[in-house]
Amino acid sequence: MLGRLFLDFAFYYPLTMAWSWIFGAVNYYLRRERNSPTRTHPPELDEWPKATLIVPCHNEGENVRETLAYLAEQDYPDFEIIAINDGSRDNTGAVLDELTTVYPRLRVLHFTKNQGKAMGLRMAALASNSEFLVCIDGDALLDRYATRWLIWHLVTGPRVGAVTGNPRIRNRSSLLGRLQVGEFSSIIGLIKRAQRTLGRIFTVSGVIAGFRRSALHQVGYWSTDMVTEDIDISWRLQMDHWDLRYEPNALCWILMPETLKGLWKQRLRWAQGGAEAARRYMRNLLIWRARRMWPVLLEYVLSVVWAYIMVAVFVLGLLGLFVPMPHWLHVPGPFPTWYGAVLGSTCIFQFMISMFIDRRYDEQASRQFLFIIWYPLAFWLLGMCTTVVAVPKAFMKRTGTRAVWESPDRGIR
Amino acid sequence: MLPERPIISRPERQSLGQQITSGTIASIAWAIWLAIWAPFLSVVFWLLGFHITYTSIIRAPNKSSLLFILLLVLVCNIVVSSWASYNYIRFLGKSKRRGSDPVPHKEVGRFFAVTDAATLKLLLRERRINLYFDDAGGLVRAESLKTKQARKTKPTGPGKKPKKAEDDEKQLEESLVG
Repeated sequence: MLGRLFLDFAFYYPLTMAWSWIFGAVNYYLRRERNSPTRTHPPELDEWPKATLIVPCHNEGENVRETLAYLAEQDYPDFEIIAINDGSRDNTGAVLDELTTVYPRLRVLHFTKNQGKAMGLRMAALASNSEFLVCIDGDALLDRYATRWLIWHLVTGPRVGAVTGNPRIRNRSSLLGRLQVGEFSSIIGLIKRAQRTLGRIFTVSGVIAGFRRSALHQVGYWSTDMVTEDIDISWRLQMDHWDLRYEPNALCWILMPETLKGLWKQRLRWAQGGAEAARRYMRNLLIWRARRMWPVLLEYVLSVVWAYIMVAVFVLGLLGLFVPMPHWLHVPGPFPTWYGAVLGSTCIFQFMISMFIDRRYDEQASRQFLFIIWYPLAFWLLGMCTTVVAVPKAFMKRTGTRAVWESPDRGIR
Repeated sequence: MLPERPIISRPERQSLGQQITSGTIASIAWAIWLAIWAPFLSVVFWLLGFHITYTSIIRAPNKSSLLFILLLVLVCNIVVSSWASYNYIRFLGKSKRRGSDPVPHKEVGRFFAVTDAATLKLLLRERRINLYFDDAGGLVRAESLKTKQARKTKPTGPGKKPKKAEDDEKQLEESLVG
């Protein structure tokens, strides 16, 4: 009985979520994307306000020249760039100082000790001469038109607190690189579109997001003690009734891990970030005024429950192969064929839809799909493993512990 | 001119270990993928696997029948699309709440305990700045690398002479002091 219940939940939860994302994304595409201007022709405004482009850097000596070259080339009339050298041990500081002679719009804040990304963003907000901030990572390349797309939302929507862009994976040399190309197109892009139509976004992408400084001011800026400052700020802005938007035309080319260890560490951090946010804000969210955040919270809680149930299903299924199990704990094997086939069909449909929607941003991405058609299944399994490990970690973490930088794996260059 | 699509694809740079690991993962994943398709593949290979098709699809448990799953998909569509349409109609072009005015620099400074106008001006104007923090993450000192002139975050005295366009500077001075 219990075994059957577990198995049903393990199957129906991802199925329901996958179809909800598909329908949400299709809705977004039909309503907001299909007839929108192309990436290179962002909407016009009578007057574009000054923008501050912010790049926190920690040991980015190898990447920061390229990052700043792309920032300096932004098709935007009035902007400054603030780079933060956050206690780097490599030559990041020297490179940034040198680049101030090349790019007149560039300003540099040097931290003598590593203070973490959130502190870098806070100080950049303090030093900014603008109400509108565009934040990217030190190894990310911002598309020439991205600033216009992000600022347009912030200017035209007075209650828009933040806009998240569309990260695209640059490094596609290995299987892991190609997997993530598929993941960002077919899963993350679909989820962001669906959440946008439903009214609340789980998180802006820390690697590319635009913010309204007055909204940040009202909620107290980025928290320095959360492992993922982007999830935290997204929840706090929305709890304060600020609108968050997704803009697929605001592209940003990013580097992702291409080793299993690097991928695991990154995903564990993401999972821990979600758990930390849930732990900290659960109580504030369970009030009527915060009801619009309930679906986000419910989805998160169900995903955690699902992860633990999946572990139980695997364990019970495997045990059942060797030991006679009581009837109420019986699970018919770890890979039930009927369920698998239905989930498999859903994966293929999800990929087809995302290939169709995504083709205008990254024509080459669809080439990867054939080789990684099984990835959505791997995505769910990876999510399961990271959640199971991250949730206890987050709940046992001492509050107030400063989150500082760890240099991530950036793949094959 | 910078490339529009700065994609890096250099599979030849993978180490042998990485190539073997990737190959193994991909093979296992393809094997699982094909295994979960067994009921459908067996339609093609009818003679080889009739019993799989029969037991998995025709005699599948009632709750998991195709009809139930189709119904679930339909419900997902109705719920998601209705809620999305409701949001679209209710909020498109309308703001239920007021926006906020830009926060003055002075206010932002106060939030970060930078109350000294000269330090604030240094932070807003200088191009290379060293920042020093205490153990709790509080900003204790800002120093322009150009002038090497240290500014404590507590009020210490008058600011520096304006350098940029006079109007801009005057406006900034007023906003910081006023």
